[in-house]
Amino acid sequence: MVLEQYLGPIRPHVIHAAVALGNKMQAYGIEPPAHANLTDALVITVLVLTITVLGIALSTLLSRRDPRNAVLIVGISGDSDAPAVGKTALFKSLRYGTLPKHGTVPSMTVNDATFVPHGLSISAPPMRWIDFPGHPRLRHKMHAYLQMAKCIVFVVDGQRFTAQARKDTELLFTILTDPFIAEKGTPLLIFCNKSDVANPTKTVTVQTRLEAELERARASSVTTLRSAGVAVDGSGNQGALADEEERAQLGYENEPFSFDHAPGPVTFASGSAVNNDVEAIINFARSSFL
Amino acid sequence: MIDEFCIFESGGTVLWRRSFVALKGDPLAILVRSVLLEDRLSLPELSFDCYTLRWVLDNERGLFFVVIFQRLLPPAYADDLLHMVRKEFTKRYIRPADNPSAKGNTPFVVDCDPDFDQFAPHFERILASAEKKSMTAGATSRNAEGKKRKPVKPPAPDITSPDPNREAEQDPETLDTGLSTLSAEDVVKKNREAFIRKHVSRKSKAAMGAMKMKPKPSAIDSATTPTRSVGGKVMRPSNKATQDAGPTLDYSTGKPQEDGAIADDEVARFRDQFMNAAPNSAYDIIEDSDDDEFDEEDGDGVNESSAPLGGVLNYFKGLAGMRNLTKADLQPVMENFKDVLIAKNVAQNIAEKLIESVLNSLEGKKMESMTSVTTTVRSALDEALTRILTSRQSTDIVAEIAAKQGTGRPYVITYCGVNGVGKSTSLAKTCYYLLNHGYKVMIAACDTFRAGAVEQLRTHVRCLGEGVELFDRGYGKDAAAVANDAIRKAKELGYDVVLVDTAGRMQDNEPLMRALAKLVEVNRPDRVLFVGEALVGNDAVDQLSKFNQALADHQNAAAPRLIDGIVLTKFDTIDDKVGAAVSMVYATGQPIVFVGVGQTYMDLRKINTRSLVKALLK
Repeated sequence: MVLEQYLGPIRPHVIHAAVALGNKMQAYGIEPPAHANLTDALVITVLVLTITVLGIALSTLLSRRDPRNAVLIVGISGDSDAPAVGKTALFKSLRYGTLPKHGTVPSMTVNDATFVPHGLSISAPPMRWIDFPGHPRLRHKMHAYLQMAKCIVFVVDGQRFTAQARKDTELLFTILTDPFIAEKGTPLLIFCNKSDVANPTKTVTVQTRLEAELERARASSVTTLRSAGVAVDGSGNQGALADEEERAQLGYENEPFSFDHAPGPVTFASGSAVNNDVEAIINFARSSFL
Repeated sequence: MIDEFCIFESGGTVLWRRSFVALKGDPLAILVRSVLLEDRLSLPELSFDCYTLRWVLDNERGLFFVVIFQRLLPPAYADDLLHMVRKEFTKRYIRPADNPSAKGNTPFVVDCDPDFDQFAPHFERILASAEKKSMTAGATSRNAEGKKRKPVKPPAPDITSPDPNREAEQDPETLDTGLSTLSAEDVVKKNREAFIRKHVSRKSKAAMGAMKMKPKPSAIDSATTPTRSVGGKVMRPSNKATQDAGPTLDYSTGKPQEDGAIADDEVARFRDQFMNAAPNSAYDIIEDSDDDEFDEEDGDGVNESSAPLGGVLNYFKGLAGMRNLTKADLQPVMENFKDVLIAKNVAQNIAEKLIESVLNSLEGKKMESMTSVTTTVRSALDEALTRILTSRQSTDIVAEIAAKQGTGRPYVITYCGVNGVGKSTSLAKTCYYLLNHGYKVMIAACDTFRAGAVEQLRTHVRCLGEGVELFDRGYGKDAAAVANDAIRKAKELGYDVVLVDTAGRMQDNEPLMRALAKLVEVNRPDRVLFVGEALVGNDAVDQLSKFNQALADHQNAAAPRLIDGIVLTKFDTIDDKVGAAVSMVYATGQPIVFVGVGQTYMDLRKINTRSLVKALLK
């Protein structure tokens, strides 16, 4: 078997390399194998390496083609005088049908699992669910997770919505103006948790209030300050930088914002993690995955 | 005497908890928000209200073990208990970590086994043994050693009370358990059970009430021995009066009378010891022996890495992502990063705290495959810095003003800081920024001290043109009154924003700090911005914390207004030495609202976290 004859133009180089290798081996006191074998060995090594590299590159390319494979649960974090909004509770409720027996604390990392929601038949296709923590200190990581989202469940607290509306808006605005979300038009479900309490906020109220607040947020974001950073290249110049975050535009100018103008379809639903009343979320997720 | 023991995971699920009394509020949430998410793991414990929390982390699996107890009743065995429970719990439930076939989405699948109730008996056993251990330690050596352990354990926070007194002043319950060590083991057990039963049955409010009635240790620390023990005895009935089930709670029934006598005797005895003994040397010895226990654990890591063959093996294990990080691995790398941070002008103590916090959060973690310790540390530090510099609440002043516009009251921003940092200039820049948003702004010239201050502002107002007005009362007036008048006038005339300029003051100048606190208290501004130079190093923290402290100390209101935003000026002069930003934010937890980058009105920016972190770790 002599492979070198198929090498075409690079044949002299390979032969040269084989000779060099043989000489080297001799210099180390090892009896070199036949010249033809050495050439073959070289060719095969190069071939195997090329195929491996190509394979790895191809597989990463393929897997990266659509990374959006998850249902992302987001929402604000509770604070010292208001208990949690219930994202982790919802996540657990979807997964096990019950709440964590001993309650929850504010999440510090995402909960990320692939499972068939509780209550559906085992044969249903499993979905990946990600529960993203609401604490503002962790918000800088959200962009990465938004890119994994096939659809987004935005949880608001049905009990304290009025008090938290501004915070909700702030987060919602960040999501809606995220360039990736704006481009892909990821569907969004605004889910009013805690429908089990007395007088939960109605979804209509949530919609009108959020629209009004978003309109306000949009107006004030028109002329925000540029950000100041440090020129890492060492030029010592201050001022706006290349990595200044891009924000997409929300809605249309000269027209009050309504959720019809959002980049993707926005729907509203209410339910309760406590009573495992999460039908709306499951239906929403399934319809997004179809 | 713990109130609750709790195990939770970083995803937010509480895996297991055992409450002995109902807790007021949600201490766990506060722990997560104010320590774990704020990168303050360098703290040994967290105290607030009447609780103290101690914790142990299991970074490898993202588990947190927390013990909550009454601040005034620190149990000697808290740390032992935490370590023992961690060992037991991880041994019992977390095998999948080293068993790849059972791997879920997360490195371990604690999640899938929600039935942790079986852990309860094990916990009880551990608790009992921990209690017994601390008690026998006290019983075997009645003199100094055993008893002094207790004061050693609870570290710094309440140093106000000299330790021996605190020991003696503790709730009668402690004395009871203390004396029960004299009796046989079963009595210990019985007492403990009775105590737990009582605590569970007792309503939390009653418990709180009892806590409040207890005299503060520091209040009577100069009292003499006999009066104090009498005080202790008087306390007993008053404390029990809040409960109805009298007889079951009377611990003295088991061993009538003599116990009480011994108790007094005991108290008197070891108080004498504390007063006569030379404390320091004894302390050192005990602390050493305490540390040894922990060193044993850490020691393994050191030995492993010091052996040459083990070193090579470890290196490959590290490459394959199979090695857990030990303190010994991390320490030298951390030192390097600390130097890097300090070189970037981060205040020294802040850098130390930060590094320690990151170290605590990394220890025991599995390294990712194909990474070195340095890259692991770098990414952890990167994340921690990003988290610190990412603000907790919105820094969007404009949105806040818009929200307040309908209320009929102007939005008030007060600027404070030391001399010459650029308060008036920053104020003028903010004013320009707000004018561009179409707001009507009134500037209150409350620097009634420095010559030319009012004229400087007047010049600014002229330059800024339409929509802005200066309110001044000349020099020598009370700043608080001037601000108050300005706000009233702004309200009448329908201005949206009032910017209050104050005189620069050094952080140690008490009368002036008092005046500032008065100004803030009287006018209740919506924002109190601290203006600081980006040039300062170690002094940044001193300035900020003293301003904050002064505001807290000199206001009478229940919830004093503190600094809730930072303006970083002269940012254009520091090249890449941006450490002051980190120092200031970490010292207060408040966000950087504006950054001043030049001389013109347009040179106002917000912070770019990403590039700051990059510059810091370059």
